[in-house]
Amino acid sequence: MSLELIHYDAEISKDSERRLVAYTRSGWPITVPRFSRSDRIPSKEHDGLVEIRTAELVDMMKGKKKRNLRVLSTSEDEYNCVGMIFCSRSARVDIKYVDEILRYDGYGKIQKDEVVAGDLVLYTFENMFSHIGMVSCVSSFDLRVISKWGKDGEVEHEYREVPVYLGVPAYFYTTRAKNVTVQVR
Amino acid sequence: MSLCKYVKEIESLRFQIQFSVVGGIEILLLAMEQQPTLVALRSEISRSAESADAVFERIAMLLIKVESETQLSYDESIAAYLFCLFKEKPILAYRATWRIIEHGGLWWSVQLAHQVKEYIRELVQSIDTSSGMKEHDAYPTSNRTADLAKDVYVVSRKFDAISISSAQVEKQLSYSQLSCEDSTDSRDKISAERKVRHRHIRSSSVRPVEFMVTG
Repeated sequence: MSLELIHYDAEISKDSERRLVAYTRSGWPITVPRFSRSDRIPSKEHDGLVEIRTAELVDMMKGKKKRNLRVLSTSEDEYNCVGMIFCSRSARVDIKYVDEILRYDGYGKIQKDEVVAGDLVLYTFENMFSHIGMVSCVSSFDLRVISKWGKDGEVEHEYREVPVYLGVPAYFYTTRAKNVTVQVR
Repeated sequence: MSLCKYVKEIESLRFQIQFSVVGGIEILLLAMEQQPTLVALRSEISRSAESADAVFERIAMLLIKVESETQLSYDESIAAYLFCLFKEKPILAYRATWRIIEHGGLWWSVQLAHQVKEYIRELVQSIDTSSGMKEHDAYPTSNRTADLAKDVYVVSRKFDAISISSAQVEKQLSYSQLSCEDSTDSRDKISAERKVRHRHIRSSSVRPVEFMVTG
């Protein structure tokens, strides 16, 4: 884990909204929006919303893609793909910060054939970082990834098989790289 | 396709989950830019003022519906409507942002609402800092931006004429703060007429009940 959740709701800001403060390993602060958590406590009636959405999402994936999917969690906790990997499944961190997180946490880029379980896959959509997942299984014919699909469920899938707006796999990252140093502010 | 069909599609679960998976606001905007239904709705809004008003009203209705709905969050639908309004009728979008931010409890809609608010704030500041609030000087050169700036200017002038409830006073006060409170330079350049209006709104917000009675 390279992002630490330092505190939540420790202080009330002047606009009375709650803050979530998170830092990378080297102390680089990540600006998590004030409204990153719902103001209202979800009612019991809303339980199962993520489950319904994830089931529909899986249903939308056709053929082989659908068969390769395995839904791991439909937790109602509010986190996204970045929050799952770097923030202990406890925050929604915008994907635009992923570049900084990887850089300041000492991740290095690797080739696909160097990937092992635990490494990261970064996706791009229209040349912008759009999604991140963690490699769960590598074999000669398959590379499987666990990722959180936005507000919806946590899914294990073949690394290329994601919904269209999550983009396509573009880069692989690891902390095992030989010549990587953590850049301290 | 009629407006009803757009509405039905945008508020469906299949539409919402297309966008609920994305990981960032910039990706969401990029995806919405390309989504065929939203492209069609935008052209409909740009053609017809009634459609724009209907979409604005739809946002208000969904914000009420969110409270009682158990199967759908409508977050992405509201964000989609706001996106279309922002692209075609920014002033209407600006009005919608207040409702969305006040409502809270939504993810993409609230983020987008903050972005719209910030955009309009910057625009109003750019008008304020141009020479003495003269209309012909205040407008930027590009046609689209000029139209938008004109709209914002007209809206700010119209605030005087609106019948004011206490809630509206708060909104207007915030608008005034957005437009002039931060910058000393821009404050100096505000016309005497505008200063009177600001004082009027501020005093009203201190005593909203009294204002409602007299106003």
